Amino acid sequence: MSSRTLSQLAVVALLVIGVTGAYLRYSARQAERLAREDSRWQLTYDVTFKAPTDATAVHMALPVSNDHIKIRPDDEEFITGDLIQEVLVRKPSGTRELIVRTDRFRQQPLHATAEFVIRLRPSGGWGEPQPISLSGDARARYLQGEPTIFPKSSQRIRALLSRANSEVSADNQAELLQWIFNFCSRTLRPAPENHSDDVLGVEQDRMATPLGRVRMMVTLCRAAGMPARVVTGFVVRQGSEVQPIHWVEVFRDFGWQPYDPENGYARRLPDTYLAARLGGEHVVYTERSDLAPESAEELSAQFSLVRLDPDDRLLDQEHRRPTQVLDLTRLPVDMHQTLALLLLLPLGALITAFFRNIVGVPTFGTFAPALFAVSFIYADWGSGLVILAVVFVTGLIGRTLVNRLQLLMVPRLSIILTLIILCVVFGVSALQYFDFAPSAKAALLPLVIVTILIERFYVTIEEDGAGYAAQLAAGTLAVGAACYFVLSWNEVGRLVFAYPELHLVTIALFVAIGRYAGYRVIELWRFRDLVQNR
Amino acid sequence: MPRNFVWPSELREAGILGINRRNLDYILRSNPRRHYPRVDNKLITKKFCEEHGIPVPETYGVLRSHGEISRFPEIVSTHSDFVVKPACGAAGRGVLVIAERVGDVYVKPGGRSLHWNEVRYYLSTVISGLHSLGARLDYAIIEQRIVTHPTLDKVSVEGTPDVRVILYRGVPVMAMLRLPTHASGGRANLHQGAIAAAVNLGSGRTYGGVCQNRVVDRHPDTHEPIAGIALPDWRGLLDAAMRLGDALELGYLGVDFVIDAQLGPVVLEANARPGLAIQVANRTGLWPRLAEIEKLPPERVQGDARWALIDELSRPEPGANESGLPPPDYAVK
Repeated sequence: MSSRTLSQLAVVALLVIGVTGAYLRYSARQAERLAREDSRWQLTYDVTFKAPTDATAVHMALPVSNDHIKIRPDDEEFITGDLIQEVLVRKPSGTRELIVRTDRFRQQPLHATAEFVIRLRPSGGWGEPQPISLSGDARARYLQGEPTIFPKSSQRIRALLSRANSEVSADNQAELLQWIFNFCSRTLRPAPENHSDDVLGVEQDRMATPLGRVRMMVTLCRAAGMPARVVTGFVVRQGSEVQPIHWVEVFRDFGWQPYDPENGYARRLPDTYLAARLGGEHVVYTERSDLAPESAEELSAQFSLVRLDPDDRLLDQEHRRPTQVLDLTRLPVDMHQTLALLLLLPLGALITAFFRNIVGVPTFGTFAPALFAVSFIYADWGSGLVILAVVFVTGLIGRTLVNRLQLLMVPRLSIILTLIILCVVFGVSALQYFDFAPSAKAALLPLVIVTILIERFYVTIEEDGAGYAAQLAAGTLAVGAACYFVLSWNEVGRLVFAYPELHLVTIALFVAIGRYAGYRVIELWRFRDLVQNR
Repeated sequence: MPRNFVWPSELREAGILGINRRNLDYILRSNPRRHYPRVDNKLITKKFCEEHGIPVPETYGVLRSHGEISRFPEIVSTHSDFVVKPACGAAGRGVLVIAERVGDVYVKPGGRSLHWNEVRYYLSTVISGLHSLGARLDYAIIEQRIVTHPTLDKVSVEGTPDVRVILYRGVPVMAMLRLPTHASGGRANLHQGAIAAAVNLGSGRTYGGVCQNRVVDRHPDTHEPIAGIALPDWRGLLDAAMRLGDALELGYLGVDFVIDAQLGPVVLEANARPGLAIQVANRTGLWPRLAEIEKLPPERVQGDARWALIDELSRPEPGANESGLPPPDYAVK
């Protein structure tokens, strides 16, 4: 197999392994985070009623999944004894209902229980909500007035609405909606519990119960031409007797927007809100009409919520396993920075390789620019640069002086090293004396590299002239600066530390650069006359 | 209007070889790493040359350790002029030329004199590896000083001109003459301001001239014309280059010659990573020639069959005039 094919295979293999590894780790992290943040709850409906006829029916609205709450089909369990049970989806609201019926007359009270496991996940955890549209019928349904509950056509409601319209800019439904929300949530004072929920009463007294606020908001919205409905559900928290609460949903653009005027939530509800009945005020109801033969008597419903144990994985991950070696984030925090810097170094080398082999910028040394960049990130770059400049100048002066002594190489280099170490140490001390609060980390410049650089610089000036030496120094500085700008980006450091397998991608890029046979950018300039004079 | 850069496709059309392709497709493929010491160490190169009867400057002595430095005066005692160079130096670095010796004082060609102490220090830096690739311990070679051939006298300043021939699969593909200038400090190094002139492979005659990427036709210091110089014993030089290429077993090779007044062309050093400036000097790309030779069967790139190939390569390109001189618009820039 030719080296070219082999390199291409290596690039592809490394890319695949690196990206797959990072993806697997990402999903594992995600799953772990969710296991930590998720909670599971058991919601129980306990319904008792008496069946006066042989066709009594009770309707229970089942809890609704959304982007942060999920109820799987096998998480539902209905215990209804020998009653007939049926699950239906009501149109147009989409409420799922469990309907329990009797087929014969019963003397004793009847029981039905529905149990659900609810998975609560932080916002967006189950995916974004899909955009929906409202059919003409549904729209008409949610704009309809109802004389007792939503008296949208009443004189006083219209007066209220025209006041609202005069206070907001014309044709701005969002502003109008906000006005309505503010009115229902702030202007109306809290009413005592026994106060009427009636909309007209609320309007008159300017005080409302929670349900009163909700009804008022729906009425005003419908009057203003915005489809709106009451939603009844629960706030997920532990309790043996949980009371259902009500909020409003207004149809805007592509979906139902929730508003809770009682608690002040608008457009986005807390993750713990769990809807059950869409477009109705009762989770459990029976037809209350004398004409209806299915009307149950003495209907009572009790709701309870219990927190369940977390996923086993969450408790398992505390066990020691050899695979934990691959996870650097579990190390003590003070080791993080050092290891993250080490992991940055290959990226610095990648940038250097790019500049040298693809752009064609000459530098002193192969890794010097990357090492400088990393040491500047470790210390702060300000004091790093000052100290580097001082060290470099001192070193060069020292080298010039030492040259006159005519020493052998190793002792000569060692003198320079000693000189610049003294210079760094006293430099830090001097900065401290003048209250510049330097970071002592600046002392950890790669001093051996600096020593060799000084020697190379000196010899290059001697042998190839100051111009060429300056060119090399400029190249080194430019590449070092490029390394610094990329590597000092915090996200980069965190990313390679959390996903070190991404360095397989780095290796793939090294292979790709190593097989790059095209022109260097600098050659497009260097050989320009050869093309233009043809 | 001259542009400051050209597109890669234009360079490709012009057949310019880039450094990355040179490294990947020619050096890495044709030059086995284990043969590198043959060119990186001038002592080994010299040994190869001597074994194959290729002329080289005569070696007066070699200093292999700091302890041997004291032998230096004895080695040079019978010579008044000589050259000291590191065995592993690159690009003419660390070369000391002594034109005259008066007791303990050594005089450089420019007239600056060095005391024995300074020479001793210089020798120790050479042996310490200051000039060698990778700063390893090195040897100091003391050898015959080349006297520039009279043909080239008028166009060389402060140093010795040299001829670089690039061989691929043992076939010379391009050649240039490098002339030191005052600006280059006597070294035949192009990026320091030396002049390069293309050499027609068939005739050994120079044409054109380039200094720092600009076209020149006269030497900036002596104002002598650079084009039209016929290099002495050109066939002998090419023959030596080919034989050395065969002996070193390096497929992509640069061989540097100096032309001595008495000895004619002698090999100064060989280079397994010859630079690409030769394309600028020749004002043409290496790539088409290399590609052509790459396609040839082995028997056409061996022995005397190569002479025919050299003549083929040196045929003036369409557009160039008969004399092998560059087209007229080339000199006027």
